[in-house]
Amino acid sequence: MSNAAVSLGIVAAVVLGTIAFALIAVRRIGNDPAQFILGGRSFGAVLLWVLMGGEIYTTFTFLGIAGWAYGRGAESYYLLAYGVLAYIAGYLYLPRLWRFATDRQLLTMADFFAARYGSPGFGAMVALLSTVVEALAILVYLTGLQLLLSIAGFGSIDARQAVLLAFVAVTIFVFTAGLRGMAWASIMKDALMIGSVAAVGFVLPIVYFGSPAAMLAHVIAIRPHDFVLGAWTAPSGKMWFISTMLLTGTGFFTGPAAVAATYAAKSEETVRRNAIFLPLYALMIVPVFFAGYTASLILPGLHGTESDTAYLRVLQAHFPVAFLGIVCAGGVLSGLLPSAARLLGAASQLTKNVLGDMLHVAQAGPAQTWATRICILVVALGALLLWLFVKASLVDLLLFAYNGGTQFAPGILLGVFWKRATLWPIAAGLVAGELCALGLTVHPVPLAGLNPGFTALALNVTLAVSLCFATRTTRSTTEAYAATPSA
Amino acid sequence: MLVTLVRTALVATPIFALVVGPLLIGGTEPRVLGMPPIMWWILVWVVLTPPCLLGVERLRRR
Repeated sequence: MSNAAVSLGIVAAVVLGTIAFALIAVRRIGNDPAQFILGGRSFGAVLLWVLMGGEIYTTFTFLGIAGWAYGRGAESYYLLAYGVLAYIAGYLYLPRLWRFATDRQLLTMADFFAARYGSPGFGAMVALLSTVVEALAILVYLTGLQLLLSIAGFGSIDARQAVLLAFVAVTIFVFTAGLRGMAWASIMKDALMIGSVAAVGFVLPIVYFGSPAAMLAHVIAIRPHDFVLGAWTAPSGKMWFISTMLLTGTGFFTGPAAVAATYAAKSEETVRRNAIFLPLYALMIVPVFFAGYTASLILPGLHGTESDTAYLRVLQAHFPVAFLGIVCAGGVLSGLLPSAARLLGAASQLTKNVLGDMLHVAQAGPAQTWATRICILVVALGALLLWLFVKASLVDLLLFAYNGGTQFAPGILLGVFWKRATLWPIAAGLVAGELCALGLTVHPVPLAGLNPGFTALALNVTLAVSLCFATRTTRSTTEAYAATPSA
Repeated sequence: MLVTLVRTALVATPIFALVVGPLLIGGTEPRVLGMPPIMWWILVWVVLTPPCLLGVERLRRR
């Protein structure tokens, strides 16, 4: 058998095996929407851990972080730290979010906006906006999958067709099994990813340099300046580091998929305990840094997406093909499952908040579950079309996906912490934030070295808070909040 | 009052250490297990954050 056949065979076996494992674990899949979308709000520590922690392990972790370690300076260390900030923030606000949502039996993130601010229209707007953001985020994963599969295929296959196949398989999977199936599949994915990343991160330096420490000594000797942050307002300097940390730390859990994972917890206690121990997940990023650094010594001089896959190229050239296959399989799962989570998150919002609340279609029961399934197919098709046809400014789209997604954070954070937050100020802040994020993506303006997403977020918060102070709080808008027992 | 102060400190310390720490401790020495300062500093706080949050949680229950 050729190398390509072996490694692609392993990838296919792992993907199909994971799907089969999850389908067996789920057993009976009902047509109750709360079951399909939120796993019946019954997840304990383990399922919640993999569902939430899994979000830090995507194809970006697998390829992007290694690429940053390979080619960039000290700013790459934000990737090691921001997860911890996100979990601290999560510890503070996710239990309140869970309480608010569970008391009202909310289904989606957009439901929170609709309920908290007393406006189903606002919920529908959030649903539509975040669908765009989610589709763009899926684009990131598909692009990563393409890189992985072309490495696994040794250039002998059309990686785009392989991506298509894998994406169709995972879409059908989430169509069938819903959130519970995804949580079970995430257990497999995390075990495989952590295992393969740790293996690569330690095996590569040991084989070539004797130990990770010796490898680091080489990197430090060759590029000593890559361990100090740049000047305050320089591109990727200190201001960038601070603003990026704050931006990514706040926006981490404010997408429909992460919010759905929070709602799926069986108790407030589970949410808290998870947030306390999730920071340890960040330790798994260290081997990815090691892999990227080692590749920069062995295979220097690569640029762009080639540097992202540098360590896989080292594996491809110098290691048994089965090892490459397993590592790529871990990477492929890390692209497919977060895609599935985002498909389900976006689809459930379209069903509940646009079709249900606005058009009064499929408002409950099996009809709602089936509408969600159809929306999964629609969003998947949309993301695929974007991926196939929008090529020109991919990087811009991805930037906007991240920065645009974070603009939902003020509505959620102010919503759970601040009684005076009301509909119009929050909506104005959101719109201004999105427009600013879009504008700065199209027309980058170096503003004191700040991350453009942070600038947009700052505008969003400032506008929302000052308008809240400027307008008198009306009774109807605070009622929803005041009814919360824990508020 | 004291409890609130301790809880705030337990949450604020890791945030401050992770956001501001890396600005101050660049360079290549001193190394720990071969890691440059920015790397081991962040790792130390990755490991210390769960105990900090656990402390906050204990104080909350009282």
